[in-house]
Amino acid sequence: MSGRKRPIRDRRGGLRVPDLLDERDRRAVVQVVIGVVVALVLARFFIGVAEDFESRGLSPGFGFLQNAAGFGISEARAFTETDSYWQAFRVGLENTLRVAVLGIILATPLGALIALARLSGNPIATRVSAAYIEVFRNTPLLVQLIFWYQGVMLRLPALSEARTWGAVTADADGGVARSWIALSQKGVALATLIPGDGSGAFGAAVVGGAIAAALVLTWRRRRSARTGERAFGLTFAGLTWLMIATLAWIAFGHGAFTLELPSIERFRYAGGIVLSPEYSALLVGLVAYTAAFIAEVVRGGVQSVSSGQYEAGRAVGLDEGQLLRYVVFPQALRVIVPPLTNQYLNLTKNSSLAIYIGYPDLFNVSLTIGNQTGQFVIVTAMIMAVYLVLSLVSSLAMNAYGRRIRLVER
Amino acid sequence: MTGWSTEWVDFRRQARIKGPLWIAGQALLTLAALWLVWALASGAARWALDTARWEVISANLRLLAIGRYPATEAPGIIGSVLLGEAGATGVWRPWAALIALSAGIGLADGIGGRRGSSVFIAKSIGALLVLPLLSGPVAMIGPALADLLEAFSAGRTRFAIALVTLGVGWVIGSQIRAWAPEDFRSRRRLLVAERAAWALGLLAACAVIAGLEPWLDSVPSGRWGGLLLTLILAAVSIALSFPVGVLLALGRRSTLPLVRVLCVSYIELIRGVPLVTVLYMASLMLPLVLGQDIRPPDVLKGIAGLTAFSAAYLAEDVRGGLAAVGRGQFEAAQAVGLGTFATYRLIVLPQAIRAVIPAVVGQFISLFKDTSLVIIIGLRELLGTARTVAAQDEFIGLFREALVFIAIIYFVFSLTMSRESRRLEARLSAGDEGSSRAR
Repeated sequence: MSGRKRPIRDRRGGLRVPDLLDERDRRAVVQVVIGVVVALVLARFFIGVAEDFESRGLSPGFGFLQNAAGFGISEARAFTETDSYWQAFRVGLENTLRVAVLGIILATPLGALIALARLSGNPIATRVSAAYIEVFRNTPLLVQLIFWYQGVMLRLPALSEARTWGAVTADADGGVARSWIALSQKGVALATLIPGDGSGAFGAAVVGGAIAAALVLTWRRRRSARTGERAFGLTFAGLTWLMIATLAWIAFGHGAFTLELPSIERFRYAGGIVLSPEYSALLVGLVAYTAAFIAEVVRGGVQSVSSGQYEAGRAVGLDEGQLLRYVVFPQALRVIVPPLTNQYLNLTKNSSLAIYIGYPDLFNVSLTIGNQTGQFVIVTAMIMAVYLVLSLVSSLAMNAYGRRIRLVER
Repeated sequence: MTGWSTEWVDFRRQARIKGPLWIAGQALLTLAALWLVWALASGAARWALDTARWEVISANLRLLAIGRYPATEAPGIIGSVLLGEAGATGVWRPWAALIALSAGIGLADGIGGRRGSSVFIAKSIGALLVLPLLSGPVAMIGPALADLLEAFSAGRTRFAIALVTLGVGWVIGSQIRAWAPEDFRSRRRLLVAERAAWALGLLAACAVIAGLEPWLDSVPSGRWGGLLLTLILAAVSIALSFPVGVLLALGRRSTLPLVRVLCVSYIELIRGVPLVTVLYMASLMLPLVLGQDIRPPDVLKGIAGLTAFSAAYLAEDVRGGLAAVGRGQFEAAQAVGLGTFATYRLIVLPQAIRAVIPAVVGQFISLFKDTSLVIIIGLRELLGTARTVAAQDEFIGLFREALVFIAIIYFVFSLTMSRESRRLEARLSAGDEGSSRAR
């Protein structure tokens, strides 16, 4: 670009500083200096790690992951002490995903509901949801989690006096007291469906029905775009799906699923899905906290749609439902989705607070591995890698979504 | 509430337009919300007034405030003022620090002709002075809660001293301001004096807390705890992470490829992982980088972790602000002959940061709340102390009371910060064309 020997002018009086370095040299020097400093710090770190390894007689590498773990994990279906560290790590990852996925599924509608109450214009509902948001956003998540765990879950009645909802006592069952929901210090037990013989075929039919419904939806929309008639797309698609599902139920439904209600034994629940107190507290805490943030995101999105859009919608004769569906939601969604993904990611990362209440998530299990093997550096690198991959995937998905809505725009 | 009457007018207008079905829906919603409020409020009131055993807090107020900060010998007059008649040894330094800080901030605000920080401190101390007065009426409905309120009267005289010093500092400061001539140079000097007063108050407080060797015995950071430690962690991490965050944001826009790559990878790495892992990493890395011989105190590890984490998020906030500064600003700055450094310092950064004050303060609030995570590296801040308190033999199992109490403290601080930021934002945009455009 500029000539190589252009002198630098002093900015105050236009005096020339000695013509030692021109712009390009200066840039090179700055970068070299920074590079050397960073390299030195990193080198110091790796030398420190190497010294640390040597002083404790460890060998670097991932070989230790094959050794037997020698510790049990409370929330693992199939994990024993003889399994390897690598398997323990995987169980931790599964546990993290288990709480994160369900947390996201629950926090989204709750947050939307709170946002709706806040936007309802109802003076009481507005203030209640505002208070909810302020309380949950302005206190540390960790304090909330510990409260849910030690202050709520562990204060529930003992297992023998568990609170139950929908209690059933069937003589055919041998007079065992069962219930749909049971709640005690030992956690939450819920009724569940146990898949039986025809369940695979039924499941396949349901999925197939959904695909067929999607095809019908596209067909109706294309037709509507061609002819200008109303599409009734969702109605048609829903009916298609319902029809296929009903037929499948008639064909395979008999004995495909058996309902299993939990019962209470002496020291544990039997049957049903059992959520441990740690898992329940973590899930409830994360959902309650994240819902407050999601509510603000949704509110911001809906309010970002200008009043002119509403007026224009009404002017062309849309009713309130159509107005929301065709005018408000599509525009609000564009504003909502990026920060919403961010909240999902936050929830996933925040689930690492599990360690403070003893839930064996990725971080907690990894720390145990680190403590046992002394391989802190490698284990920490592995945890960070997992979380980084998660956020990378979500940001890629975000970019893809961003590109899509840009295409929609005129 | 000012909103109620306008809301009622709006409600009637909407009811006219939308008809009876809408009114029925709203009525249902109102009832549901009222029922929810009643259920929660009555439950909470019953717990707070009857069930809760607040003596766990009243007996441990000092522990929650300052942790195991030791009693030390107080020099002469300070001892008798802060520790009572015959006091020579006792826990006086946190009080002295509070008073020094109040004096410095009062003076600074007086010199600068401002009120914000002083009013905030006066309100907080005032609230602590008023709390014991409420214990009389509260005693009729909940004796345990009344005892807790009464317990705050222990610090009455010392809070009053802090309040008086604040006022005196402010009066002296405003006298200095009134006496100074009204020209540009003295205005600059006042600005310098204001900052100096702030710095002096802060430095004095730090020196009193940590100790200044030849004159004051040092108190090892391991003895700091409770709210004191929470505030130290938050204040130092905020003060450090902001400039680091700005530098990272600038580095991300740098034209030097190496700088850009380093900043981007740092920001994305930190933002991709949870804070616990960063704290853990900091407590792991710091000794390895510093070598085996130097053992950094845990407080330093905590500050390092919190700063490293928060800086990355601040960098992204500031980047948003930098992007909002138009090219014309750079060109205009260049046209009047400013160099790169001066352009950023005088033109770009003030505008960029002003644009992102809410986000930045939001990040500070997060940081303040996140200090609770440092128990993982063995620090006993507010949450850690609450845990200790609930583990005492005579109060075993009263963790709920302790958690609710500290949650209120966190809540008050966070809410105050967000309110202040909104006020600051309003003040800064008052003379702005942007605000008139938005109206």
